[in-house]
Amino acid sequence: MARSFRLLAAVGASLLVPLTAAAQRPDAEIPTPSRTWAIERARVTVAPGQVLERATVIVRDGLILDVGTNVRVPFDAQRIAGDSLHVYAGFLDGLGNVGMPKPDAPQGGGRGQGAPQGERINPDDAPRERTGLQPERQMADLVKPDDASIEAHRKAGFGVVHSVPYGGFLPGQGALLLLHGDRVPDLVFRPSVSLFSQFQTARGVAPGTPMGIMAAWRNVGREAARRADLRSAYETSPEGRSRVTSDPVYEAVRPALGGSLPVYFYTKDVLEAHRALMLRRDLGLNVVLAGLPDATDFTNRLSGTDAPRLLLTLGLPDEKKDSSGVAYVPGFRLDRDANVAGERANLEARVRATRQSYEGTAAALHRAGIRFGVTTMGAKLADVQKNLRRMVQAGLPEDAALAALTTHTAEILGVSRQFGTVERGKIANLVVTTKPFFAENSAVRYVFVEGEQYSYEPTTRPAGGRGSSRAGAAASAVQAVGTWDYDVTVQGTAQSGTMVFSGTNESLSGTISSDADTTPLQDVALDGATLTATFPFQGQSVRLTLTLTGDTFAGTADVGPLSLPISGTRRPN
Amino acid sequence: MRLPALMIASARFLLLAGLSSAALVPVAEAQRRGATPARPASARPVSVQASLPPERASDDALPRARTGSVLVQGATVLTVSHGTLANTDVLVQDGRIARIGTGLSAPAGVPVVNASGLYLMPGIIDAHSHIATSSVNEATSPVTAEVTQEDVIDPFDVSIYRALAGGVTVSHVMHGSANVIGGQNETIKHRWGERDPEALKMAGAPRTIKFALGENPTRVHGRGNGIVPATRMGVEQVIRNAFEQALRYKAQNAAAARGAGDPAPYNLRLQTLADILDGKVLIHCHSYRADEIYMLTRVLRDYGVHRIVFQHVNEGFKVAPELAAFGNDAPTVAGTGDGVTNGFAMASVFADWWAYKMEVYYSTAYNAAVLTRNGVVTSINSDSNELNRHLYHEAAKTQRYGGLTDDEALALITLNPARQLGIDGRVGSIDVGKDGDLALFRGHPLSVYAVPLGTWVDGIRRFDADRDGDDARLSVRPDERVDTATLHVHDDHRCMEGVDLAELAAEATEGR
Repeated sequence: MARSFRLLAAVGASLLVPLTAAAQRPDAEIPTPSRTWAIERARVTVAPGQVLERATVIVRDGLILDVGTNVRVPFDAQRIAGDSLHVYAGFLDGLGNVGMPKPDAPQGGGRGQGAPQGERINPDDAPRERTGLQPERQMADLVKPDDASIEAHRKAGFGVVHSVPYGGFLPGQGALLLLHGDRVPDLVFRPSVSLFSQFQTARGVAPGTPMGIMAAWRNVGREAARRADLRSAYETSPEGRSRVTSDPVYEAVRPALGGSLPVYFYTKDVLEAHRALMLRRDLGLNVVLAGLPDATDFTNRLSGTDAPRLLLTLGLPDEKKDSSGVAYVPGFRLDRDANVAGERANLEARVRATRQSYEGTAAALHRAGIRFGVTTMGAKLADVQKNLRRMVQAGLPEDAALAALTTHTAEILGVSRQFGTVERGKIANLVVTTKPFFAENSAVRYVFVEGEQYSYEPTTRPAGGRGSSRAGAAASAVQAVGTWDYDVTVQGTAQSGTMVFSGTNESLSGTISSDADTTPLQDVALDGATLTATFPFQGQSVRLTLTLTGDTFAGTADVGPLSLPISGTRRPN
Repeated sequence: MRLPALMIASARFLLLAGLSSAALVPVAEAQRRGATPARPASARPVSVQASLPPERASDDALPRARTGSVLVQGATVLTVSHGTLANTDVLVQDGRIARIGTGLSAPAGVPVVNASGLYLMPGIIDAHSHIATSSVNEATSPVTAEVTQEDVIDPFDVSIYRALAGGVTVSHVMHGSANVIGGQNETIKHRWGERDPEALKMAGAPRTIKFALGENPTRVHGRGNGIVPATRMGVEQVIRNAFEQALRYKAQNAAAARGAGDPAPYNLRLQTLADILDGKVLIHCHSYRADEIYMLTRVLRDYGVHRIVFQHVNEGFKVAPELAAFGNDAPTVAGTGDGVTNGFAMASVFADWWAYKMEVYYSTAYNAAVLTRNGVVTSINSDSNELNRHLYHEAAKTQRYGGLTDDEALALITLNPARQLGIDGRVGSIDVGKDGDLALFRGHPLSVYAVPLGTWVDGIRRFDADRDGDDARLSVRPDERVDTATLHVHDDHRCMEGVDLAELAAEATEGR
């Protein structure tokens, strides 16, 4: 990633040390001229609610050396003119999948039966990687410094991530990552800080349902306890006992039982959160909940001294414009059959009200006095800043939003001493923005991670690029060729797979796949933005009708009397 | 191909419907949910339990169920337990029926309902339901005793409200019928409006578990996965093998408790099966044919299990005397409440639904009456989030087909299912001291003109026909699509939910 002096030149900084040695060895890494930085005359938010105007931040050797309005700039500092810039502590992501490529076909995701065809697995003796019981895996072993997610996170302002592996219901242990460096040891700030769990079912083998996950958790927890007790008994007096052999799964779970190793649960809704708390009660776990976009329904369980801590998801339902102006009427009763449109409008208004209530979750938690951190799980990284703005507009004070991104998450992760504020002695993680972070059109200009500078050019839209030739743009926007990931809802259950279209818009062919099966599509045709195709399935014909918009589509899959909603997105090339 | 397979399967859902089931078994002693089950584990000086909190924390940790008070005045009271009382008042205080009589006055602050000309009956109890749950079938093994509906109660399911609108106050939320030994069930009260799953659970209700015989498990596991059971013989053997394993598990832990050897590796499945053998968990078994019903009674006798509730039991009328006699030779068990039987086989049936697949080709609308007249405690259940709204009509059918009395017919949906769930000491009739679970009707509930007007749970009015908004849902998803009306025929049967229906659809195609 671009960094150091080359970017400084772009900013027009005055202090450029000539580097002849580096110039002579173009293949060698260009040494950084100095690990000392001065961001001068910026608006520095030292901590949430604590702002210094026209202040200077000195960074040296990865630490914050000084902050203030009257600090001496060291002679060797690389200076950044901070006039009109805003400096915050680097953000912390309380839970994320960062530094590991997302598996193509995630383990699990199915329900109940559905093992790949031809496969015969003893349902009661399935490999653990199939069941998702892999608590011994370490994110610190899996992390890849060149994984694109690291830069994406950094660019969004995160310097620290509590990262956990992809996988099933117990996919491994989390590591605290410091998002810089080319080598694993640079990245890993602390290995094995947590056990991670999610309500991710397995495919074809247990656990195939949430209740299966609950049973599997209790089983592994109680067996881990039994083994630990037998082992200590054996060590004291082995007579008449069998030695308990080592099993990494139980070894990994054991520290979680007494609460010494926290268990982070990703819970996508309150029902999952309730389940996590049942396990907390039954196994004595120290639970941190993450996700919970609907946490408003859960505030009573999050209050009190013994309450679990919460990392609220930064994801929100997509924004949808509404021009109807209809407000939801809770007690609406249809006046015979005369007002079906009125009922429909009311139902739609309720969905809108629910979307708004999700935007207000953070504010509601704040009002209830609940301190929460944040997680990027359940969120699109590109939407994080916008979503935070929506939360602020829904009543979350900016200071509270910033605290969630910094101090509160640092507190939950147990790294308040090192991260979360712009104070002397802290590790130099900083976010520098062009406007106040929560303001419209605010952009990240620099990110510092442990004193390493990353620079981001403000993005400017090419003049006349959009809308200059509307007709041409519309025509070229519809492009069917590519690989699409689709989701279809069958009886309330989401199913997914891929479709591949090739050829040209005028002459298309394609295939549809789910699991291991691929079926050719027939009669593939694109008319305007509407793509139609059929495929045979066991004597019946399934008809797809899809409306393409850029890299997404929505439509239906019709078979017999059923019309199933289907949507998809195109994979980037 | 998974997606289209499910589409096809949905289209053919009629073929598949009715696979549900459940089984109720009254438990020997009141095995309170709040109590720590007596586990045979704790070994010698090594106490495995020492490291862990009890398997189930006390009920104090749960939100206390809210209760209310009400005085219903001047109703025709159908007590079910002691006949019909004309022009009678019923006072519920703090969730319990406090007084039944005439000229009762309401204590300060207690709302009064003028029920003159109306009918008051006990809240209806549905002994076989799949509402209010997030997942029905853990269809990954022929035996899944380790899972429990208790973990997946969904208080936001609008089916709860709709059941209340049909006078139903208690549902037995059952695991599905994909497995020979399925998961444990949960008895809930319809405390609609509560948003915490714990608040719906009926504290103190005995533990029950689902078994399933016949075509469902043989199709899912035998034909679907190529493992035992592929036949009814296999189904029997799965049960026997499971019980044998549980006996060994018990034996090893009992030996360890005496100081001989170490406790067995912890196994929640075997532990649950051991609890069944110890009479702590009541079996509710999905069944249709007389031969398989009789088979299970013999298996249970072999393992000393003397209590069972058969679900569906469409050919129950063929073995009614055998069911009535089952368990009579069992040793006396203290604390059973009625003290009448040492053991029992009960039946929970449909009023007049059959022929939805081969194994249930043969039945009769007289089934409930035949079973009742033979002395089998019988209930009528819904297994459906549509049928549960008119269980009173289902009960009334037994008067047309079998000539049951009003009390007998009403008992099919109140006191009898309460007995099958082991909660008849608390609910199922209008008696002083029982829970204030009541349903108020305009018209006699066994009349086709019956209209439910109000439903109380623990004295709190949870349904009021006068305040019945069109959209009663507690919450909606932010990405919910508002669809124009679509009629889904029989989509409401969830007993095979979670099973990938691809194999079933494929099979149906092959069979043509």
